[in-house]
Amino acid sequence: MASHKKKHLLPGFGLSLGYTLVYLSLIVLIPLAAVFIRTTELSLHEFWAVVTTPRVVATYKLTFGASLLAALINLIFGLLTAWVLVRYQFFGKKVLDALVDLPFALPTAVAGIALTAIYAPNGWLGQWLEPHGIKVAFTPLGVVVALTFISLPFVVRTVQPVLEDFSAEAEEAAASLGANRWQTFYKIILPAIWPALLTGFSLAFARAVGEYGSVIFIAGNMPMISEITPLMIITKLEQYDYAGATAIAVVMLVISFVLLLLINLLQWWSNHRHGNK
Amino acid sequence: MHTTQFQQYQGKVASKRATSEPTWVRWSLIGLTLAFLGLFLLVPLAAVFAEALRKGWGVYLAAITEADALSAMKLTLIASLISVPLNLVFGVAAAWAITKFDFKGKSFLITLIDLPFAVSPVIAGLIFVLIFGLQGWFGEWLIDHDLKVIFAIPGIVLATIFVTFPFVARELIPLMQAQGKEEEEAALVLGASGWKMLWHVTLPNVKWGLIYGVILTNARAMGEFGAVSVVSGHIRGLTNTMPLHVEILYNEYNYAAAFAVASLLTLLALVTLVLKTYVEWQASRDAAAIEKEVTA
Amino acid sequence: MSITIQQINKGFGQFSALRDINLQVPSGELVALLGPSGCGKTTLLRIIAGLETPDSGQILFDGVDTTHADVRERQVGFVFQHYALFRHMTVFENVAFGLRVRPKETRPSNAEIKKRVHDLLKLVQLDWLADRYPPQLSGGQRQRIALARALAVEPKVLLLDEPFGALDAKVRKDLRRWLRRLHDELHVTSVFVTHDQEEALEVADTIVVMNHGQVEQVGSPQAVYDNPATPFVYEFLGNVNAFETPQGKGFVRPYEISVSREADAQSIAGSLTYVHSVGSLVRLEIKRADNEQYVDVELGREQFNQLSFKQGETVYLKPTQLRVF
Repeated sequence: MASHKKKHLLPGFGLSLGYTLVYLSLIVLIPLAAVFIRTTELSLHEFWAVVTTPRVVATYKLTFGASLLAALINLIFGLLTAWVLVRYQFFGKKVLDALVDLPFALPTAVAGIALTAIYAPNGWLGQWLEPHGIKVAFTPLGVVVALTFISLPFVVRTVQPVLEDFSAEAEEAAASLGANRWQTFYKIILPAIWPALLTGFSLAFARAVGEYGSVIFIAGNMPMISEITPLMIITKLEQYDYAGATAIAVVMLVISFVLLLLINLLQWWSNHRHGNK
Repeated sequence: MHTTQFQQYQGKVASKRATSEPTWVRWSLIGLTLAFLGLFLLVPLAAVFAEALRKGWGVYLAAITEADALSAMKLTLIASLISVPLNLVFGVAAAWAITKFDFKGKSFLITLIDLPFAVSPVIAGLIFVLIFGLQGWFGEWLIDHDLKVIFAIPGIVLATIFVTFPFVARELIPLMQAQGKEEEEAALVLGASGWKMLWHVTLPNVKWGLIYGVILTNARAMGEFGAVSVVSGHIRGLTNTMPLHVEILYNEYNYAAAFAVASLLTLLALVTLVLKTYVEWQASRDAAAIEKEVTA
Repeated sequence: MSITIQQINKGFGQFSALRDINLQVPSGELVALLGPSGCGKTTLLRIIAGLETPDSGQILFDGVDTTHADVRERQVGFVFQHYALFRHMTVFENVAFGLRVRPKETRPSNAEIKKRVHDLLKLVQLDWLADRYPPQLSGGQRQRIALARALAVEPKVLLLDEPFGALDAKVRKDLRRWLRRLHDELHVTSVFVTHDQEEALEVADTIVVMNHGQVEQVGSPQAVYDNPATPFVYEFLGNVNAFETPQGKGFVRPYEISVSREADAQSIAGSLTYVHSVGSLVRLEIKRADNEQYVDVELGREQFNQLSFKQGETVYLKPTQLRVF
């Protein structure tokens, strides 16, 4: 510590960093490590058997497929929402802007039962969709709807500030060189907001993959059809199959960490691209 | 550079025609956005209150004043009251270490702090079961000493702390980074102690970011479902938080009561949004005032 | 192509940015719009470009009314104050942009675009930077690329907004000589906006002095400098001393004052408070005895050496030329 005292002018380095590391280890790192350590109780063969049973594989497909779809929906509508909120004036805009964060603030269980009530066969929207053969509640489609709701703010909130800062001069320059609005959008504006769009998309996807609360109400949770991976973990736990639950958790954690790494790389890449810092 | 009245106008009105879309495109895009947000945000919001009041105010009031509901509210409040201050202290400590000093592995540390966001809430619950549960590392020791963590309040609190872990730190780090350490160094030269510096110089500067972080932490702490669900055991009147109480009522087909309790959580979410917007507004007002001072 | 501006008015909210502007820019000329910030010069330039619409009045290109023509149809080249280069595109792609966005029928072939872009890059002497990205260039290089990009669409009119505003002093000087030479080579009708009188005097064929949204004077650099039409022009172009005279306010340039040790009937007494003698001119600061105001006088070094004034000495001033408004 003596050498630190020489290097650092301000006080409290040892205390603040020490506290940070201890708290971080106790709450996050050691508990997370527990998952990986507990998996070693299974042999590699057993581990592989647990995480590749058809029922579990079906949950991966649904979880990642529905999350991808939800993130894609939010990629398009998030860009649209950010664009409209930044560029246009209309009545009620400020309220709408604040409301975009509702999925962050609303407990997921509440979102789950509300969406289920709406899309159930006798719900506000369900009663109109059902006669057309569109079933939302208690189907994989319901999972997509719930995941779209909970990951809605990410793309909007990452793209919005970039659009706000985008220089009007660049757009005027494109116009003065003869580009029409559409050309200006996809040749000038879109490349500028692309990194933010990708970041928002990845964040939305990562959040959707781990989501539990909102989905279990609307999904119907039928094995092989509408079960998500987090539910699979809970099911195993309720059967006291700790090893099984842990193995599936490890698969999810590894995928989440890879996603986190990708997001960080993406941000690094967009910051360092073309030589600008 | 000073801003003249002219330049201010220019920024707002500049080149309406050259860089904006035809009116019909504009209104179509606005319409599409309203339809999307209406469908995904407003309709669910309205549904909560409509379902809650479907059987009238009597049922509604009974549902939210019933003993189990009240004890769920109490537990939710306890979980939040413990996790918010703990994560607040951690956030300030972490932000102080990260923004005021240079050391190796700093960006790795920031990534580690963000980790809980990348973990599914269900796994957040699971990890504490693996440690404190019946078959967990400390399972037998806890039984021997007649202590209970899992299926009890400590487990709920731990899971809540985990899922709300990064919020305050995440708000403070970029803010304190942007503010640099000049003011603290000035305080040091003037003879302030570390704690005085923190209290009188650093914290007032990041006041709004701090409040913002607390608001987000609190909202998540009160609303958390997945993680808490794993560790709670769902014992009515004992280990049920409000979101879990909603689930139990819902699964018992007691929809009106489920939505009644849900409506309270929804009101909490709306209050959170209002506070958040207010804090953002205040923070941007302060920033604008500082900018004005600098340029004047 | 000539530009005719007729009775242009433009307001932003309560603020009137341009009032009744009339101006004729002959074909092939290089014209400077000169004035302090907020005088409306940039707004006028943007109206000529079609980036802004006037509230009333007309813009004619070669006698044809283009007031309501879209910026895309006007065939103007616009160089922005901060260049507005597209940062995600290489220098080559920036310059090629105007050609690539043309409709299929009029779009040149890839080979043709390549040739045109390289010709332009050679013209601005930066062919070797074709594969770089804008953030990797210096300010002066960005400025020249912005110019090449504007020229790529073969504009009939070239408009430049404070083209040298963001550059440091040395680069600025080089670049404005270069712009002058380039204009002499291309002869495209050009209008540039500046708040720097020296820049306008050195580069432009014609200077349009503007203030508070109105044109104060139009003329050659020599005309506006030697015969300012209004007190504002006098004060804005170069140093000037103001004298109260019975007929009104009089203006005298520092080199239009004679200084001697002998008094005569019209001369004004003062004490020499400061002598600044660096370079070919010697600047004297004289405090008038009657009203204690300071007067700036410039003398040639030869003349100063002959007279050899000392600081603190009492001297007598006499304007050799006085413009009274």
